[in-house]
Amino acid sequence: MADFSNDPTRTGFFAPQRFEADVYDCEVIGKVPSDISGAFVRVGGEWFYPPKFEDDAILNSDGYISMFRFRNGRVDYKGRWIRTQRFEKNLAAGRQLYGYYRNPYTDDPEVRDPARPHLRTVSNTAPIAHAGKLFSLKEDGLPHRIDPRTLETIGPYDFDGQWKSQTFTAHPKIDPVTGEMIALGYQATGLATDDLFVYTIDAAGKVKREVRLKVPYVSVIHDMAITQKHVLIPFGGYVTSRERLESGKIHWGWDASKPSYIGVLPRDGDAKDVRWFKGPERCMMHVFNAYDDGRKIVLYAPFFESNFFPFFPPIDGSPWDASKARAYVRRITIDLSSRADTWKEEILWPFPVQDLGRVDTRFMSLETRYGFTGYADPERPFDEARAGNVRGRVTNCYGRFDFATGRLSTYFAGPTHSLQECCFVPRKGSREEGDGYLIGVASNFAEMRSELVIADAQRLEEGDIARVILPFRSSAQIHGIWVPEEEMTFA
Amino acid sequence: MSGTLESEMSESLHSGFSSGMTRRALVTRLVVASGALAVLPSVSSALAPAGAVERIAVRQGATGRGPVVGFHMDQPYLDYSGTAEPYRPARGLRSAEPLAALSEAELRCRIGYL
Repeated sequence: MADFSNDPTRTGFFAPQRFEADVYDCEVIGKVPSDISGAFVRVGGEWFYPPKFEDDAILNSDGYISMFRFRNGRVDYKGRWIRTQRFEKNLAAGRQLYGYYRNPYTDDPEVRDPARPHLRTVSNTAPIAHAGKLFSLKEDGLPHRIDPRTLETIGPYDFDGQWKSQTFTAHPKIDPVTGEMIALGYQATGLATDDLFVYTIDAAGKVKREVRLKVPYVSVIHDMAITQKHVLIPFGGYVTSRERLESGKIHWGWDASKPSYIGVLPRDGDAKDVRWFKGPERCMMHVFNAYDDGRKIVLYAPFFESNFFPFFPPIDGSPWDASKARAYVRRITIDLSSRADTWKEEILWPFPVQDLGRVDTRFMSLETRYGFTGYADPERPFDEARAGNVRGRVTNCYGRFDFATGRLSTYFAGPTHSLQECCFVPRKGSREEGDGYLIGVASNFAEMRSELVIADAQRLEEGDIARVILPFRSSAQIHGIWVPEEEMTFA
Repeated sequence: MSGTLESEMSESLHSGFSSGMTRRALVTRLVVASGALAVLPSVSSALAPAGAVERIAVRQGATGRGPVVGFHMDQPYLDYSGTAEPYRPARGLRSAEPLAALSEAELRCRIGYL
């Protein structure tokens, strides 16, 4: 039986939800543009059973996939648990069998299998659509294929046996020019191994190329970037080891003495061609985009100063430092013609942002002008009387960050709302970067429900074009993608 | 009207304020006690639903209402005047309230991204 009585957020907006949902023809405030046709697919984590350890990471919660399906100015909603092997085993047992985040040594004996840690994935991080298939992803296991019509889980997918890594990144990148998907798997041969496999999967979904690398040290490689010529592999700070795991600790600790790295691998290169550029202490979780500029590579990324996650504690026993867990929009320039093994870094805006950076994906790997992400504007009002007291911790704005001019355009969600990651939807028929809509799910704390906001990405200050109303709280989203109608067969 | 208010206040003074206290003294004491009131009618209207000010003015002479709990600046106080509206929660579920007790670390552990 599920028992959440020890959870301090068991009441209120973040209380466990535990249900699956279908809402047909959702209530809408305003008018949904009829040229938006396709689906906004979201993946996040919810605890179906409470964690075995109270100090476990929220990143260890069960995967949940949901979809706002747009057609003819109407929107349907669907939400389903991702039926991983782990979910099914827990459900059969009626309790949580699995221990700490990515530590199989802490699992119950009947499911403990440190030699095959990928079997305990919760697949809770991001969706991706490629070659007509829809997947949910988490970096500690294989992709789980999802039926786009029903959101039912089909199962783990290894690209017809051609994907050899035990793991698959949460953030593969799709080249809009070639249709290829570039992806990687780290800890590719097992727990705490330093093997990194990088793959190119062609537009038809077949593995075309594999490169096997060794990393400078074993760390989180959560995201990656591509240019037309290179694959970028950023990481830093987090460390683990087989000994750490065998001692029963959570997978990652933070080592502030470790440098950050960005690996640069030519897309047509081999392992001998990779260059590891080194930088200061950084927590490198997500990127906006990268592109080639002659012999230079420009990377835009909202990297943190230091450790963002308090549940991955400093290994020296020092307390987690919230003041350093701040992400800033950065421009990183790597000069391939230089013998130096570092990069130039600029902070483009002086205030912290949500590190969930997004771009117009038609420009992935190409020169990019706009980045989109959420941030907290403390000057905006927050109605505590109606929403409750969040002590200022609210993502109340989406921003369009103009990398060329430094201009910031802002969408404000309202005084009782907080925003999840945004997503850019191109306007039908347009080719101009940033011409389209910015969408994302807002938590309405006053009404205790979720709302999908839709704004014109070129007129964010004007507010919503429409809000799609759910009569409940939707599942928490980590990442979402826009899947155009022509790329997928939906119901 | 003021005479009626004064006599009504006198009726409610038995539960905490000395008898014979003037309206001016009562207001002064309430300000000291709760940090809440400057002028009774304005507080009553601030606590009342929109549009209720006129109704309060009419009721002042007739209610005989006992002490009620009001809120000012998120702090509760007991209003003995008989003129304040009882506290009613604001429209809105305050569903983010459980977060107030969480530290930054606890928030990131429980919620992740907010």
